[in-house]
Amino acid sequence: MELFNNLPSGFAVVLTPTNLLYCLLGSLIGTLVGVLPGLGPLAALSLLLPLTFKLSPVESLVMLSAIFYGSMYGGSTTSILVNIPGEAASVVTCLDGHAMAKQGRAGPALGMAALASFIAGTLANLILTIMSPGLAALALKFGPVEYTSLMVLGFVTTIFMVNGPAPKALIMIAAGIFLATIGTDHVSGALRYTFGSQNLIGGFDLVAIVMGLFGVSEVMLNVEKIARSEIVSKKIGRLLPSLQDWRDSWAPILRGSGLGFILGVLPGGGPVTASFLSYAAERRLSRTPERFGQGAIEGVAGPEAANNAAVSGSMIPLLSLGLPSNGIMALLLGALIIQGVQPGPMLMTQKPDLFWGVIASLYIGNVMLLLLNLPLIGLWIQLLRIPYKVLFPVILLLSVIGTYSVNNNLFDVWVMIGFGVIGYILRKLEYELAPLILAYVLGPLLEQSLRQSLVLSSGSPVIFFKSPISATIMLVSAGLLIYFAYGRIRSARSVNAAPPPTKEAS
Amino acid sequence: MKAAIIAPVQSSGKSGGGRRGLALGINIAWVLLGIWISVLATKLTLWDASGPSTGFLPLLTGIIIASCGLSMLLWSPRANLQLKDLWPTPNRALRPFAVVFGLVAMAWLMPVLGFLVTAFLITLFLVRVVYLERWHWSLLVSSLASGTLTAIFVYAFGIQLPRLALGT
Repeated sequence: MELFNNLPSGFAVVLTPTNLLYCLLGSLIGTLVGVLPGLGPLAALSLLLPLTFKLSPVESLVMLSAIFYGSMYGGSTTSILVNIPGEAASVVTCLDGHAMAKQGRAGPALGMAALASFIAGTLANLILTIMSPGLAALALKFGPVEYTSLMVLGFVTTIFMVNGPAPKALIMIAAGIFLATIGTDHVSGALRYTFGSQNLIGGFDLVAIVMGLFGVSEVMLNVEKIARSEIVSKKIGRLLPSLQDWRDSWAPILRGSGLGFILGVLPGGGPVTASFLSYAAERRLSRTPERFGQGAIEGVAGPEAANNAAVSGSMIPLLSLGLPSNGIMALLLGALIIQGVQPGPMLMTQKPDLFWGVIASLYIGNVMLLLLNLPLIGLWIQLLRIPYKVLFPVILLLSVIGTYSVNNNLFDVWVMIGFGVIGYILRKLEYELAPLILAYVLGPLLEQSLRQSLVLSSGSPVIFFKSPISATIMLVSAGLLIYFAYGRIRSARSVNAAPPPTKEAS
Repeated sequence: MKAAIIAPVQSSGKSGGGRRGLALGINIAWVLLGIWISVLATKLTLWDASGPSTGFLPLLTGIIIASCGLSMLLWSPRANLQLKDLWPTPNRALRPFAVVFGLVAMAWLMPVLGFLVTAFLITLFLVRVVYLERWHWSLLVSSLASGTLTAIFVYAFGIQLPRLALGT
């Protein structure tokens, strides 16, 4: 019942000219970021973060969230028309979306991508609206012990979700936590790893790290691989999918919405994982899996629904618990903390305008994006013609402006350059960088709650198994670790048991 | 509605693997980094009367980094990774370094020349050197990029950036 009072108040907050403008601006920038290859949502959010310092927390979060889900919408356009994903969550859309475009069905592919995104986004927002108050109420029972356990679960699931070997993910998490410890210890006031530098007393700035790892390193990778483009004129055709397209797609959209929402809520999950898993699920469930990769519309509808639903899902842990589930949410958390707002269970009662305003903005943003994406598709296609040789110096200049303007300190620019080089090397060696950012943002909270918990128990880790909530979370984490280790051992055994490749095959 | 569908021409160039690995060097670097973090952490207070102290979490992270580095050193499946695998197209391998050089130069020059002039010079360098564009195109891109961004961020948003005496 409370829901019916709160959501309208959220709409009242968002339906002001200023907030609508920021929602529209965020949707436009997000679509642009999604459309343009070589600029992901994380890099774009970090580029624009300094601009939000002058905005109110509601305006700031409304715009940043709109950029996030706008990029999910826009990413499909590039995947379908160019076969280059605009951002990572649209990689799988290339497979069938571009195949459809080559068959002269670019219109229905674009239309279905936008409509599936809209339906999934709206469904996920409904679940978010219903679930958030309950979760926030449950989160009120959380103390330092439960928070520590929850963060451990978050890191375990992150290791579970990322691609590549577990030690690589673990190194990224540990490195992120270590970076967060540099500077002044907030509990004792002691200095750590500052080596006498005044600049390091406050630690590294989040914006400088993110801009380096995701902005600069992205440019460094792109300049060596983007060559030239071959332009072929094809007819896009009508954008609205046919009745048969809807018959083929309604179930994948619903499944994608559910899967995406769950993966958004889970720590370590997010739009990228959601879209890949949705594609795999649809292919497995299909009676004609051989059509996948050849232009099956289910291969567009499912993943596009999943990546949008994951955005709304990932808002739940951020708004209810104050814990980000992925790198982008970590940046949103950083933005809120800079604004002096601490997300968590008290947010709904202390700042209801922010809490419900952001949720209401997700509904409005979804409608705006549908209106922006379908009728303006011609404009977005024109933007695809901007060559990277024009884009990359602009991205680099934006990175410098964004980093410098946070503290008006050139040291941050040097930090950005350093992390750009580190990010470039790590990405070349197939390390995923999102866990590092997640750990960097969660690091101070983890340290505080871990130390508080161990002080309460005089140093005994048994405290994590005394509270029922914490014990359950810890057991789930242990179970996941065992399952993960078992899976790895089994796959290693099957590789060893496989016959050696023949000369011809190799 | 007619529109352009752009098919990218991807660069090829997968090269074979060698025995001596770059991965080996990276994994050794992780082990050394982990040990360095741990050693410095032990110089801080690890534990006091109230429980874990300043050095506790850094020590933990140092141990994890060193252990993971060691495990990858011993069981790495990609020990045969070599430079050719990472930079399959040697003619473009210098481009990322040109980007870093440009950024380093920008950080050095900005306090001296101000943002606008530095941004113009660095953009000119990047477009001319990284993409080997003609002078007139490079000048056009660098003028537009530096001028537009300065106008938007400095004059429209009022962001403080280093300026010359002339106010640019």
